[in-house]
Amino acid sequence: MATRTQTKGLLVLTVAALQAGCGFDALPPPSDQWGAAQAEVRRAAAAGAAYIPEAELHTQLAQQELANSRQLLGRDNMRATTLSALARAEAELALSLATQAAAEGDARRAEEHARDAAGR
Amino acid sequence: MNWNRAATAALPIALAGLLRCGGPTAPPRSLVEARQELTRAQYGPASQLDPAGVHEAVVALQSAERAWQLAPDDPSTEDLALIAHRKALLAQSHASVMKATEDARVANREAARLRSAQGEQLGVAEMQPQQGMVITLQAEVLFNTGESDLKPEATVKLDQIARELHGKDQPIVIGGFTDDVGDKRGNVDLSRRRADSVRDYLVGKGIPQDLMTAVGRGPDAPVADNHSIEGRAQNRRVEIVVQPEK
Repeated sequence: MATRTQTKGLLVLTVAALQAGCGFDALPPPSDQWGAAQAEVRRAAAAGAAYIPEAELHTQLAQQELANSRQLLGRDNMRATTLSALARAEAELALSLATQAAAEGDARRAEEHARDAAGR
Repeated sequence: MNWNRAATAALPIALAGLLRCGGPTAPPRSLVEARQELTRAQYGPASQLDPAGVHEAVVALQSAERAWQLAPDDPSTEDLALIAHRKALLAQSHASVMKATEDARVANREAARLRSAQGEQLGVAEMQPQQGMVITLQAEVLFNTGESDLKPEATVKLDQIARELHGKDQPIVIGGFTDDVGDKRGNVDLSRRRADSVRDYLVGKGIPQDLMTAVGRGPDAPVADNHSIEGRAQNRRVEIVVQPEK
């Protein structure tokens, strides 16, 4: 009896190992993550990321990872999920870098105005 | 018997552990860079200004470290290290945005103080064209909670402002602001849509669109304390700033 239970356990482990090893994908496609990452890319573009070289670089990387993720959908959903998450992280960074450039521009102008006012 | 079986099963694991510890396997470059970037975030202004962002980066790095321990050659390990790296950069960028916003607020206040002092000496007529004009509208006057469509009664006030702005040719910045309740990204988005609504209405009333810029600042640049109901109400606002005449 004990032997039968052990054999069954071993079989389950083997199937799991084979699934992992062969890339068999029990995960669903990461459609939500993919959509969220794509929305983030659009937000970065709307914030003017194209005009800030560093932000533009991360937008392009995000688009590239989205394309890579799309190619893997259904075949390797686990990797597609991590690539979607990476695309989202790239796009969030692009958005923040664009916002940062605008905020630093505002600060510089405000400081110039303050200097002008002091010099009047 | 059972001990023997357990020892046999544990042997490969122990060997793998020993190999890793003594290790020829060096961490991938992406993981090393993620660790370095996180250290920068943890010891820089981000630790004070965006602790939540730094925490997210810590969690992301932990995932990457675990993935490296379990499957160093899996391509997802590299992805997770890159995510951790980007999140560390993101926290630092958020901190820079906050610092720049605060710097701008301080400089604007100082400029206003200096000009006000000079205006007192020169007289109001001299001061106003230099300082420009700021019209502040409380959000409750213009919008229902959480919405960006103008209330019907808001048009009375905006019509008045449109008459005031008519004929001016200086740039006009319409800024939307919120209190600090809720998700910052959602607040920035709402404030931008509200600023857009005001700009679109003024365009409809004949103010040239190319003179006006709408920006959403969310909870940045509060004018009152967000810890009180009154303060939060004051912070939920739309500012129409007419730039000074050159």
